[in-house]
Amino acid sequence: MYFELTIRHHDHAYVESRGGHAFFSHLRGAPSRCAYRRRALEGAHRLYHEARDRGDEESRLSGLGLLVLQRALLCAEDLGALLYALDREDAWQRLTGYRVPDIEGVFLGVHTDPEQALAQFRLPADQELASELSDCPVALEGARELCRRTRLRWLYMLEGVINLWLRNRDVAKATMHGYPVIAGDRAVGTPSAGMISDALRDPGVRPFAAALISTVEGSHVTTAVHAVPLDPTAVDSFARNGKLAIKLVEELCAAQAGGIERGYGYMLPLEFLARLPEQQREALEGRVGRE
Amino acid sequence: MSDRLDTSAFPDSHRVILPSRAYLLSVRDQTLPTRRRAIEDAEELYSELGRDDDQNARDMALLGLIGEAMQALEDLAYFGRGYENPLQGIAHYVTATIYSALTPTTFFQQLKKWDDDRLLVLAGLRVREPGGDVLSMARAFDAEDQFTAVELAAIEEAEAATIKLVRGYLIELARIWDQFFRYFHAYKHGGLAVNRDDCRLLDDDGNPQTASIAVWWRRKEEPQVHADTNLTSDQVADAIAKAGRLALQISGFLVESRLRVFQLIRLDDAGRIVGVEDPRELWGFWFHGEDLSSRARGVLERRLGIAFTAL
Repeated sequence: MYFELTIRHHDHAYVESRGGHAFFSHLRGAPSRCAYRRRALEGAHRLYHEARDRGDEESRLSGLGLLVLQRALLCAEDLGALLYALDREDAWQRLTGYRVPDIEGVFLGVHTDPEQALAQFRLPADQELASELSDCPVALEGARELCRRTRLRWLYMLEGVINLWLRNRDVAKATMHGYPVIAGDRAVGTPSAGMISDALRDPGVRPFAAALISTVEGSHVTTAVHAVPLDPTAVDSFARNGKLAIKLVEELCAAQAGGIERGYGYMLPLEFLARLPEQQREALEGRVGRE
Repeated sequence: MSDRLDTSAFPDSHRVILPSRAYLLSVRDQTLPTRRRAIEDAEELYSELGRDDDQNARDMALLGLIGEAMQALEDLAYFGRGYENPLQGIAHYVTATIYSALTPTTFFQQLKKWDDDRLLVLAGLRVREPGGDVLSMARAFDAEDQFTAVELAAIEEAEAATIKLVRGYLIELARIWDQFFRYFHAYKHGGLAVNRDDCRLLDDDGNPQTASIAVWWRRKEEPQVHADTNLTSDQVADAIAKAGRLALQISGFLVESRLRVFQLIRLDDAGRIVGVEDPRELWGFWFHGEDLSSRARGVLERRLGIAFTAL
């Protein structure tokens, strides 16, 4: 038994140079993958709010808040994995071989050098725009404005995803590995949870949970107690940032797959075209229509 | 309430009893209901997307269901390691909070070789002392003389029936873990479902085959696919959802066994031990009806006040 991967392309060496055929196929599969991730995240978010409206117990509600967090983090991990993969030529090995600290490194890297991450979205550089549109200054100005707005939008979205990841990765990971999480009402109830309650910093909102992250060094075990706010504000924020991650994955994959498909090194984003001054818009539409 | 139990040998309330109790109550009231609801939700999404034409979205939904169900198996493995084989010198629950990528696979691979004592400890029906000796609950609580020989024999028979059932279930879950863990990892780490628009499975003669689910292997030099051709997608969904629920049911039993001990200990509002309840309420059993004699059942019902419920 074997698998046959069939990709139609005019230049297979080019596909290989952009991460290989399996990677290209993975990029092309993004719409279905993202449609699922979005539905799953929205489903968890809906369950949380339904439980809240019903007045479910705090421990039930905190569990569902953590489900939203977990599903949102999976979306963030999808994005981090793609950015990590695209950072080198061996994209497929990196996509299928990354570890959690690699994602951490990618997201921290975006903080220090956002241009590196944005480059993966294949925005044209200014000299590339100038060389393509030198004959039409109005279209060139419009293209520059499109790139500027798109760049700002992606940076804003990346910021939300990175915050989601950096603040919550340990807790979300814990929910996937044994669920060492005390329900908030058990941590602050009567009687208390003993030394767990002592180590807990009450986040001051309800519900919340206390994730126990234990590490072993030699014969010593250290347990850190992470308080996780799971009130509607926090949970809505998980869902919102998770959806930003999904959107970024969609756009990143579309830019990459579209570029590979057509053999382009970069692509002009058109999302803000309608907001350009009429003259610039018409000039660009003329060019885009022609190409 | 019993005045006969000596509480001076009990572990420290602040360091062990209260955190353990909070952990177990959280598993019962937070973790298990959440996992149960997540599996239901994933099943609903799989059914919903199954009606779409988008086979790739349906594959992701199946992977999502595998993911939710396998997390219940992974929880069980962590709990099992913590309570059957804890690190020495710390409360059992702490071991269950230590991450190791090896925990679930090691747990499910090794339990096939476990002897009865290990299963009894896992089931919360025996206690392993720091030196390794395994004690019955009656002996661990220094209450053996409160039971007649007939009662102790009935308890032992019910214990044997319980671990017979639990062993069978755990071995089934070990098989499921082995069958599905690669799909689980592919789901969690990047959503590595194979894109059916570009890929197809062929037998050695080049004839197309139908895979219920196919994912890319992680950590392979060259792209390699891991696929199932024995079941339909719906059969995979059914099998994995049942396995997830079974794992939750077992975890629920293991948690209730421990909670029974904590419920025996009476605490004041400050968490100090102020007494203990009747040790006859220490036991909970779970077995196939035919594995416990009517005589033993009668003894447990009449003398220990244990009520039996058909599930």
